[in-house]
Amino acid sequence: MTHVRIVRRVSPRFSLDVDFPIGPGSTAVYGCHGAGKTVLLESIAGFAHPDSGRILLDDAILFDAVSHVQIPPRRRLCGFVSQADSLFPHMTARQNLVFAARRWPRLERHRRVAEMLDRFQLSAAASTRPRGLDATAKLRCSIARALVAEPRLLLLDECGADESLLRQIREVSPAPILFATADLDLCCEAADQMLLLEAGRILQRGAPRDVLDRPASLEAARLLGVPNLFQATIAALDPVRNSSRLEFDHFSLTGPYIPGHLKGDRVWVAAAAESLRLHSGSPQPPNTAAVELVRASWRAHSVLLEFSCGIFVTVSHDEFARRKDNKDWQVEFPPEALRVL
Amino acid sequence: MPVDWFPLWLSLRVAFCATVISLVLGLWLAWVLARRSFPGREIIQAVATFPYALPPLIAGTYCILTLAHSEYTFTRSWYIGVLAGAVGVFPLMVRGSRRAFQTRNLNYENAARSLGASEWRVFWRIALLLAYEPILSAAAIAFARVLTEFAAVVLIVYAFTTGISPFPVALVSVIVIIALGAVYISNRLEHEGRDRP
Repeated sequence: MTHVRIVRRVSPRFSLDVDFPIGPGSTAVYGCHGAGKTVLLESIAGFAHPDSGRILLDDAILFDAVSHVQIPPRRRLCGFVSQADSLFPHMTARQNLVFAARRWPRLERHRRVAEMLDRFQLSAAASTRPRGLDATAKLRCSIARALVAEPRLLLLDECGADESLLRQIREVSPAPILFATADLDLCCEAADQMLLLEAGRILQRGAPRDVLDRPASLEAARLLGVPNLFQATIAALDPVRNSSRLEFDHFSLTGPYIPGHLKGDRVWVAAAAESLRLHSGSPQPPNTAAVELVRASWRAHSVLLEFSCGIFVTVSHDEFARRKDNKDWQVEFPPEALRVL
Repeated sequence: MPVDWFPLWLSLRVAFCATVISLVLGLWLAWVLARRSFPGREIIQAVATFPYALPPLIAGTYCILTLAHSEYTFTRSWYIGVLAGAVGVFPLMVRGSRRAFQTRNLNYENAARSLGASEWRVFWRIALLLAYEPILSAAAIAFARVLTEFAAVVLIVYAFTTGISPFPVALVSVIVIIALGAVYISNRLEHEGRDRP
């Protein structure tokens, strides 16, 4: 079992307080700048000392505040790739890897280093010092160096690894990966599990698709960048039909049944911008709100439309081209798209 | 009249030995102060820096007295000069080395630790090799300072005891050139250390 339960007071205004298991495969730690991702990874690696808690790696205790166990970083076998360049500048790429493969006998060491250089397309740059490598090669070299030491857990701290590189790592090493990132797409593409970290606390954890589809709280929804967040009053609840009536400030909608709430309760409702549909003209479809277009923001693969009442809808470039001359806009909220937080 | 080069050789020997002693001890203390957190660290730091507050006159006077009491047998009492010189430049070495260890990225050391390197290996293979320019720069300055201070003391004593006055210009010129060279090397090393990524 690999489990992290630690509390670390970093400053009077910020402390890290987390409790989560690390499963096999990749686990993403998603959070914005200052959420505590680096502190978390450094605590696991042994560079920072938590105030309390316990860290288990494959059932071995790395840290336990109660019994004063604090295994030094060199004996933790946690590969660590930091966001800053950490390749030793006075060594070539090969020497960097040889440094990490020190514990193997000479022939075995050179075999492993050569194999790792080859796997990460570094053979041609093996005799080059880090200052002669481009950013991608530096990253591959840092990861190859961490892997050649055969870590039991690989920690990647916003190092810039993309999905293909993470896949490559998993082909080379069976070690679980814990990577910190502020890229939500990368979480979806490469992670088996993800943690939402904000101000040192885990807001939610689970499979990336589940977390994205069902944010557990208002904070989680905000962190995930869900643009449509509204406060509503529950006007009616019908468990038989699995429906509810929600009164917003400027419109009312039919939503799913909300267990655990009573009529008259104030709740927060989230809706992803991609899940809403646009209509125009009459007759007006059910569960729609008549709105006015405020702004259209062009993205690489879509257009984000901002309407009155703070409603955001994402549409394709083609759809926006078809509808851009609309005079009256209606936004449909499918009941299954509404998430009550 | 032929120049007696004995004061030069003696001063060089004293400066070299004092620099090596202060370098070894200063490096060790600088590493501990830069990387370890323990009660009393600030006090140790103050004690290590205290010789800065001592005027060179005190060390020089101590040397003169020691040399005078040893019946001018410089060859037997030169180690006193080494001790005085090492103590005098110790703060220079500690401060220079500590700054070098602190400014160099801790990132490299942590990367080495995560790769299974012991603290000894981290120090010799990573920290020292990344910070050697500022450390050698401080050592060069220390060498120049001990050399000129001790040479001045020796020349005064030598002049009094042998009656040769004024000081031989050639001897003084060589000492000044060597000291200038050490300062030049120190500046170059510091400059290179600053420019290195």
